[in-house]
Order: sequence, then C-alpha cells, then structure tokens
Amino acid sequence: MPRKAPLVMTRTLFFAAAAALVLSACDSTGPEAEVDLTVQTAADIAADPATGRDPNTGQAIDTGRFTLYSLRTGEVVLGYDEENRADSASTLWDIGFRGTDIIVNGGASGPGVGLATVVPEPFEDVAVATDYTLRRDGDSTCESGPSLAVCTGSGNGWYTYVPFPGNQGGYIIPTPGRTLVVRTADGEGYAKLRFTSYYQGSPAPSTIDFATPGRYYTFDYVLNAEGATFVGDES
Amino acid sequence: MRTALGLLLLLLALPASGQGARVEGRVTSGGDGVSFATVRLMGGASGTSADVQGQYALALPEAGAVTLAVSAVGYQTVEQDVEALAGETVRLDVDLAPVRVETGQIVVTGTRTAEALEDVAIPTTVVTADRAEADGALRLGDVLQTIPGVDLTADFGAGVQIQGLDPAYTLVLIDGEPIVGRTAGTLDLARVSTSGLARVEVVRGPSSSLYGSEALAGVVNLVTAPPREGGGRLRARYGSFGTTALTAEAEGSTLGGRLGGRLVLDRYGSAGYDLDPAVLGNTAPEVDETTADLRLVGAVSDRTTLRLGARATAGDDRLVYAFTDAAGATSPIDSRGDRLDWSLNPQIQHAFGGRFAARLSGYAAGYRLDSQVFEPDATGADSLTYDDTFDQQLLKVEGQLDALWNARHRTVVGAGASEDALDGPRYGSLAPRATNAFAFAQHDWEAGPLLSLNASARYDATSDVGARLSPKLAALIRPTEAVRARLSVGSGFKTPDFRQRYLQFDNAVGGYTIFGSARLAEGLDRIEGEGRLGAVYVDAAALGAIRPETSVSVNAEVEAEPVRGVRLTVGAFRNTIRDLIDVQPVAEFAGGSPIFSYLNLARVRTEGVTAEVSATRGGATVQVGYQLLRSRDLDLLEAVEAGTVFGRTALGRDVRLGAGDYLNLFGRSTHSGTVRVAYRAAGWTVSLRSRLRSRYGIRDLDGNGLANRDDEFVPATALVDATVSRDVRLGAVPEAVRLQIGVDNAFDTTRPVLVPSLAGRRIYASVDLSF
Repeated sequence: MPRKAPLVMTRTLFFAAAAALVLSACDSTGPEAEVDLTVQTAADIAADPATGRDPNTGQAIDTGRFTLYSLRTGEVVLGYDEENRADSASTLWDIGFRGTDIIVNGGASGPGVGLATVVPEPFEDVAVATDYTLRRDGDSTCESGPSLAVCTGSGNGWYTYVPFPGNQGGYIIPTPGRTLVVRTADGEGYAKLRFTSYYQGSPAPSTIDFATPGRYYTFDYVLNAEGATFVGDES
Repeated sequence: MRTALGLLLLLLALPASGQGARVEGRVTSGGDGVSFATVRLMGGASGTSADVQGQYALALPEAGAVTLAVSAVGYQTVEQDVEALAGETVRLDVDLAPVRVETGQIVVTGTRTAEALEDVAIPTTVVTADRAEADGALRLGDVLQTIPGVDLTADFGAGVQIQGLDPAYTLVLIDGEPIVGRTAGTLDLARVSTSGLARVEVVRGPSSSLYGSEALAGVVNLVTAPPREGGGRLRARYGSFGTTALTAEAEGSTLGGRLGGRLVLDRYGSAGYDLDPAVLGNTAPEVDETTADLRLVGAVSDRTTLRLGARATAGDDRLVYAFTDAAGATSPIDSRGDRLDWSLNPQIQHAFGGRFAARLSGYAAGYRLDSQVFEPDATGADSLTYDDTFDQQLLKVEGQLDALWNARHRTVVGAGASEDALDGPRYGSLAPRATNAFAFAQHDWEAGPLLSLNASARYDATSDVGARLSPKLAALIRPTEAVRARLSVGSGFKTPDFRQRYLQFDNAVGGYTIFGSARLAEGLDRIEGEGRLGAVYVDAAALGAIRPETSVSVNAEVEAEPVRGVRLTVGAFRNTIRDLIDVQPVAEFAGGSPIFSYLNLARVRTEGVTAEVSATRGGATVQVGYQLLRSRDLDLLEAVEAGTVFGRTALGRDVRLGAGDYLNLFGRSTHSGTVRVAYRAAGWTVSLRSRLRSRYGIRDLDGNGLANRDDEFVPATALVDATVSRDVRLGAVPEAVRLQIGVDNAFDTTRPVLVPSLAGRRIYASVDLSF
C-alpha cells in the first residue's frame, strides 16, 4: 500500500477521490505495484514570506533566501529561515521557492541534474514527463526575466497576477491548466506538480486581500521516483 | 450673386442653342426661405443653388416643357413641371414640406457645425434638459445611463462605457471643450452637475478626426442653454441618503438685448450610504459640493458675437471605513478628498457674409484633488498616513473657419494648440508637461438627394509621443424620405496619459512600485544603484516611450419611420484597438516585490448590434433600446481558441475553455437594454424607466484572465426608476411650479460585495419654481 509522506494530507473530497482512483488503478495492475503514484499534497510551504514592510518604500522585509524542498521525501530540506546554506549545494533537494520564483536543482541553481518545464495541460492529462522538453535553470529560453526553467512573470510560468478591482495591488493565482513537470535532482525520477494556492491556509481567492499572508505554496504532486510515467498501469 | 451667375449661365447657354429660357423664383417652407436649396433640371445637366433667402434663377438650355426637381436637406423633394418659351423668364415659387423624420433637434458635436439631428451622418443621441428633468436627473451619470448602449462603470468613480469601451476612451466636453481631471482614465460623472444644460449630445464612434485624443469610443458634449431675456429658477430636492440639491438660476439681458447672461448656482450634498451596517463605516462617501456656472453672450455687431463660459465646482468627499488587518483587528480609516474643477472659455465668432464664419476659442481648465487619509496611531490619536495631490491644468486655443460654398458643399477647417501640465508628488519633482499642435479639416458634400458624404481628418503633433493623423469618412443615405442609413469608418487614438508616462509611485500598503514608461529606465537604474534590484523581465532601454493607442472603427445604422410617430433604428459597430496600454510587472525588487510599468500590449475588439424603437402618440412616449455586445482581448481569444486557456472549478478541477466561454471583457454585458415610458397630460408627467443588463464578469478567481465561473459574474440586473411631476399654474405663468417625486432603484437591488457602487432604493421629492 502507498506510504504517506509526512506533509501529505488529503485536503478535499476531490483529492481524496482522485487518490482513490489512482489507488484502484494501482490495485487493478496487481497488489505488488512497484511505484507509488498517489497524488500527494504539500501545504503551506513558506517561501520567504515578508515579516513586515519598509514604512518608507513599502517594500517587503524578507531574507531573499529560497526554501529548498525534496519531492522524494516530501520534506523541506532547507528553510528560507536557515542561515547556514550548506545543504543548498547538495542533491537532497529538488525544487526551491522564494516569492513567486521557482528553481530546480541543476544548471545554474544547484549541483543536481534537475530539469523542469511548465506544460499547458491539466494535471490529470500529463502522463509521461519525457513527452515534454525539460530545461535546466540557466539554459532556459524565457521571453523575459531570468533564465529559469520556470519562467518568471505573470502568465509566463505557473501563476497569474490578478489585479484587485481598481488595480490597487493584486493577488497571485496559480494559472489553471498549467502543470509543472520536474526531473528530480538525482536524475532518477520525475514529478508533476499542480499549484493550488500561494497564500497561507489556502484561503478562497475571493477572500484574499492585501493583508492575506502570501508566499506560502500549496501544491498537489505525483512523484515517480524511478521513471517518467505518471499513469499507474503503465509503470 | 446667384442671379448674376444664373445670368452668366444664361448668356453662355444662349449662343449654343439660340433658344434658351430661364426659370426663377423662391424656395420656401411655410413662408420662410429655404437657404441654399438645390434646383435641378430633370433629364439634363443644368442646376443651381438658391441663396440665403431661397431665391434662385436657373438658365434652361432649351425652351419648352421641362421638369425641375427642388430639394434641400431636411425637406421632401418636389418635382414641378414648367413651360418656358424661348428667351422668356418664367417665375416658379416652390414650397417644401419638412421631411417626416424631422424632430427639430439641432446638434453640434458630430460635425462641429450646427445641423439637424436627422441630417448628421454620424450616429448621435440627444437627451434634452426637458427629458432629463422629467427623469429626475441631477448628475451627468443620471442622464447617460438612460441612453441605450451606454453603461456606467464604477472604477474610480462613475465612468461612461460606450460600445463596450472603457471610460478612458470617451471624450467629455462642455460646449465643445474638454472637462479635465481623470483618475486612472475615468472622468467621474458624479462630479458633473446637469444644471444649466440645454441638452447632452452623445456621438458614438471615433471622433478623433475632429477632436483628437480620447475620442475613440465617442464624444459626450454638454451643451449649455443660451440665456433667455429674463427670468429665474429655484429648485430644491431632498431624498434618501441625506441627498440635498439646491439650484438657483438667474438670467437676463441688457443693452437692448445685446448682452445676455445666465448664472447658475448649484449645491449638492449626500450623506453617502452603507450597504453593510454590521461593519464600521460607510460604503459610499459623504459629498458636499458647490457649482457655479456663468454664461455670457454679447453681440458686438450684427456679425460678431462674444461668448464667455465660466464654471467652477468645489467639492469635499469623506469616507470612514474599517480596515481589518491580518490579525483580525479593526481600525477606522478616515479618507478625505478636497477637489476643485474649473474652466474658463472665452470665444469670439464672426460671420463674413452669409457663407463664411470664423470662431476663435480660448480655454483654460483645471482639476485639483487633495487626498488625505487619517488612521489612529498607537496612542489612538488620528495621524495623517497618506497625503497626495493631483493638480492638472489645460490651456488651449483653437480657431475654426466654416465655409458654406453652396447648398452642396461645406468645409470646416481649424487649427490650435494646447498645453497640459500636471503637478503631484507621484510625478516627481519635474512636473510633466506636454504640448500638442493640431489642425483639422472636414468637408460635407451633398452629393444628391440620396447621398451626403462627410470626410474629415485631423493631424496632432505632440511634444512627447509623436504625431498622429486620424481620418474619418461618413455617409448618409436616404433611399426614401422615411429611411436614413448612416455608415462611417474612422480612426481614433488616445495618447498615453501622464500617469502612463510619468508616474513614479511606491505603494507602501500594497508593497509595489509603478513607473510611467518615461521614468522606467531611470527608476530601475536608481533601484539598481541602491542594490535593491532583482530580476528584470523586460529590456527597459528597448521599450522607449509608449505609443498612442489607436483604433479603427466601423459604424452603420439604419433609421426608419414606417408609421408616423414610430421610429426604428438598427445599428452595428466594430471597434478594434491596437497597442492598448496595460500595466504589467516588468521587474522585481531583490526581495521579490513587483515593479510595474505601462506597456503597449493588448489588442481589443468590441463589436455589437443595437436596436431602438420609439413611439410617440399624444402625450405618450415609449422608447426601448437594446445592445448585443462582444468585447474581447484578441490575444486572449486566440489563446482560448488554441485550447491553452483553462478554468479551475470551485472543486479544483481544471477544464479546457472553448471560444464560447469567452464572450466579454470584465464589466461588459452581452445583453443590455433600456426601457422608458413617459406620459404627459393635463400638467402631469409620469416617467417610468428600466435599465437591464445581463450578467457581466467582475473578477478573476481562477487566474485565467477572464470570467468563466459563475462566481466571477455579477448576476443579471434590472433596475427600475420612476418619477411623477406635476406642473402648477401660478398667476399667468402656466408652468410656474413643478413638483416632482421620484424613486431610483425602486426594488432596492443591492450587491454589497460585487457592486458597492449600486446604492439601494432612493426616494426623493423636489420643488421647482420658474419666474
């Protein structure tokens, strides 16, 4: 039976139902399925949230550091609040978050062989990671911004910046129908991710205002630690 | 001169045939001469125009029985048989009947010349003061919302949306000169009192070929009433939400009628309203506002007229509302605005004979808004946390020359220059200033009883965003006397406003920074110099200055009067705007906070069909208007059609959207309509009105840039307003006193979360004394 990663929890009936579907798919191929393809959820991964605002400029007061996360263990390897960054030069982590920026462990960002790309397909429809062109950080061909595998800026990568009415600021909403496909830092497996919230506690978007604490990632993912397919009966 | 020309023609014609004749006479309508009527020989090439008094003389190349066709714009064409013997002159006077669709309404906006509403090739709607008063209108928005195809928006005040385009694309004029002071593109219609106006003209379709920037979607022109010889008026109104309106008007003339003037004083106050009494504070601000409007007209001679228009509005707005922080603590925010609108418009007009007229107009206008926010500090005392000033001034001078060559050709040419300046802390120490020099020309050609053509073009050369030529061609086709078709193709433009060019604003609350395009490169350099710059998404040097937004538009409408008193109008329009300026993240601070700027990005198309029916019988009038609208961002539409745009359901499932899921931009309804039923008899006037809108997108909850989920829409809305007025005789004056009671939003429809600008039911009563 599937093993549960520490941060995993089924948040809604839908996810539970999705997980059940995957489980039954696993079951149908035989009780000894080798790879766990459960939809897992990481909730409220803090990505350098602001601790306040500079009263003069309005700029967020933050550390500028990434939170590094392992999709393989489902755990934060190195939090943004850790000043000792020794673990960032390891292949323990697969993906890093700081504000809206996402890095993967490879190329310009780390010693691993991680790759990634954002695919314009719904999470459920992404079946084989190697059907897509994945890139290293530093080698990417973003139209603007830094050359990261996950391009920055609203609409270019994983999120959309939605202005509040009257354009008095706005909020970050994961773009629907975008799936982040990642190769793990060790090069052995692949994961697909679907972001569901950028705000602490995953509030309903209609309740978000400028006082809602942001830079907290919640996402669903499927990890195939040993291959590129995310469909149970083909693994 | 006409006669001389006729004689000349006669002399020229005589040697050719040796047996020509001559017809002369006067073209009248109800006894008054019809100026510049056209007289043509049927089956021949001869023709002439009458003079100002309607006198004409036509040389016939051959004597005998002929048929003459006599026509003039606004009148039914008459064909008359006449027999002239060789070398003789026959007298033929012709009386023309006005065409049946004639309403007697003169308009000035669509062609910058006074014309009968029916004869203008540009789609125009007029709301008269009489109708506005019968409908209980106080502010400009009250007038515009009764016009089919016009919707009000609620971003930074009440804006006007014509043909599905944002308020920034409609020019608002008072007596032909622009009202200044827009906030984020919106000119707040609630700032403009309707006191002292004769009518409001709304021109649909691009009018940049005559008016320049901002006239993409159309033009709203507030036309003041000419002063009467003497009289006055007092009006008082009281209504829900502590609304008070007091108006005093005095008009008179002196120097034997050579100098006339009117002064209007108007005071408006409202206590605001509160849609959520459970939460501290109001939804809409308290308003206290005073307007003074002076119009003077002086006749220096029979041919020269001087005019002066002066207007000022001083207003205070105050809104106290609750702010709830992340910890759930609530504190009161006290937001105050102090504003002054003013304009001064001297004009001189001179008529050179009957055919040429010149006008020179000077215009100075300003809008100043001081905004302050007070919040309790740690000790609970009020402290000033926000203080901003927006101070815009416009200076403009313009000359126009009208030439009426004959009944078929009229030319208008004009030129001018303007300087626009803005002061405010958000615009840096170097206050932005821009100049514009322009020239325009328009030619009206009455090609025949069937067809009139109007061609116009304007050239604008600006000091900071280059030059622009805006052409327009319009045609009026009259296949029969009861049918008129109008077709126009034109180009509009809007120069980037000061905000889009020169803003430099750090929003301490929202945690972001915005630079106008001209300030972006230096702003990024400065932040980089301070070591605070993170990723840059665009090449600021390559951006340069933003270009004006430009549009190409087609408007077509057919108006028919199948039965006397019943008028049908069916129209269609399409506007395509390129280089739409949008605010976009262009860089970020080292910490990740966004830096925005304005870029020429989007392409938007709005297209639609309109239909109007109006029927009048006795004292009853019924008007029904409808608009079907499609308004879309073309890049987003392409993405939707390519299948790369998804929606996320409330349960979190992503679904691919199809073209049918994207019908309109936010704030636009597919269907909208107006209904107005009015009845006037025996001193009573009853007016019943409804404004209907199908649902429209208001927010994006799933991050795809469009409204697709039900919870992203404002549901369909039908609002009903009604007024009952009673005119009472006082001594010899039949309508000396008018009493009125009214209700707006009779069924008390409110949407506190999605549409806080929609006030609940408002009941009011007013007294109006004329003397």
